[in-house]
Amino acid sequence: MQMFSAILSLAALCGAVVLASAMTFARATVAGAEIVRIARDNSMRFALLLTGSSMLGSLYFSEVANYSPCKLCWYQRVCMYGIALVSLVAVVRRERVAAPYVTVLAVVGLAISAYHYLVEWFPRLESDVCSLDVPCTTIWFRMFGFVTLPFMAGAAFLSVIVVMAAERKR
Amino acid sequence: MKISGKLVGGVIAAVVAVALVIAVTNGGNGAPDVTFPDASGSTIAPGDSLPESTAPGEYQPARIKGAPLVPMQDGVDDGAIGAQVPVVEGFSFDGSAVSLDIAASGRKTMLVFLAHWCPHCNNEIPRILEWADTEGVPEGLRIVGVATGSRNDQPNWPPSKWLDDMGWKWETVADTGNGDIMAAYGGTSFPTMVFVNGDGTVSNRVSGELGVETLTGVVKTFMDGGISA
Repeated sequence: MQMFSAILSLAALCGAVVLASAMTFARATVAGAEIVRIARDNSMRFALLLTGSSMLGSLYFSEVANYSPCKLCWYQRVCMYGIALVSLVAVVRRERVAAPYVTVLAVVGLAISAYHYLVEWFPRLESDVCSLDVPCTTIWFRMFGFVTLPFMAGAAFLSVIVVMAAERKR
Repeated sequence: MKISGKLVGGVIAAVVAVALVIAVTNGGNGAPDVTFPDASGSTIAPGDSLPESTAPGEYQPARIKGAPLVPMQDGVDDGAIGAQVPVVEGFSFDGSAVSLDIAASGRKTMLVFLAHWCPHCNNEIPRILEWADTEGVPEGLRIVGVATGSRNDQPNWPPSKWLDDMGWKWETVADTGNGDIMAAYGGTSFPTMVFVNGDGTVSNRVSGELGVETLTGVVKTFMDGGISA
């Protein structure tokens, strides 16, 4: 599951890079314009796919694999689950008004993920001690030498932000 | 050029399938079986007899007599200073008995509570070793490491090998699976050091990374008479 989720998060990140590049060169290339159109027309579906799969993955890691979430994990969950629910309602109701709410949640989530990822590499940012319960410096796994749980969460948040940016190009 | 929704869906499905195949062929790539400590290394009731040795293990049983120290709290005067520490009869990783009846021994003792997965403990051990090399361990001071908070799903497992690799050169007690020795000394974070006078009373408790300079000062204060209650 670690490998599977790590590959999916890297794929999401690659997708975000492709979309961001397409947005940059949308006027110059037909393919770029088409990619942006696809992202724009399906923005809420992509947001739901990214955050819904992340939500299920996080529940697997905490409830099945018994990786206890730390404080920063919970803050990221608030944002991730929030986006999943908001985008689910938006997809069902075929609404596009949810984009600003999704974007704000994703930006906040990305900031927390980035800080959490830094704490993993530089534990003294958080504290000089490890707490008895689950400290945020706990690294449950590190795939390929750099893909950890906050990295994957951050990749999902970043991908959502890029998709929402495409939505603004409407 | 027109990209259809079916193509996008197909690409996403293909990515998921490829990820699944790679994950399966790599056997999940090292997903550990998370097994948290349970009954292994439990406490022994004060009235029960203590074996002279136990089987080697990363957790060991312990017999704890006496009231536990109050838990440490940040920003609060330590109410444990001057209190009598509980008597702990425990075991090292190899199963040999280690007595922490400090009042009976009459020796000033520095207990260092360490968790193998804690990055701050990993930072602090080399500094303790450096302090010992440069300043020298004061005569009469007994240093005991307590390997606690051990979890087999965390980095640097097993703690016995970790301490060997880190170069820990003093005696070690392996805590129980429930961290009973840590709790008896009121530790709430890692690393924690408890300085105990020869009469078994607490001189000082500190937690976090101290570094060589601070540790030198703390130990000197302790050896010179310590903090009064």
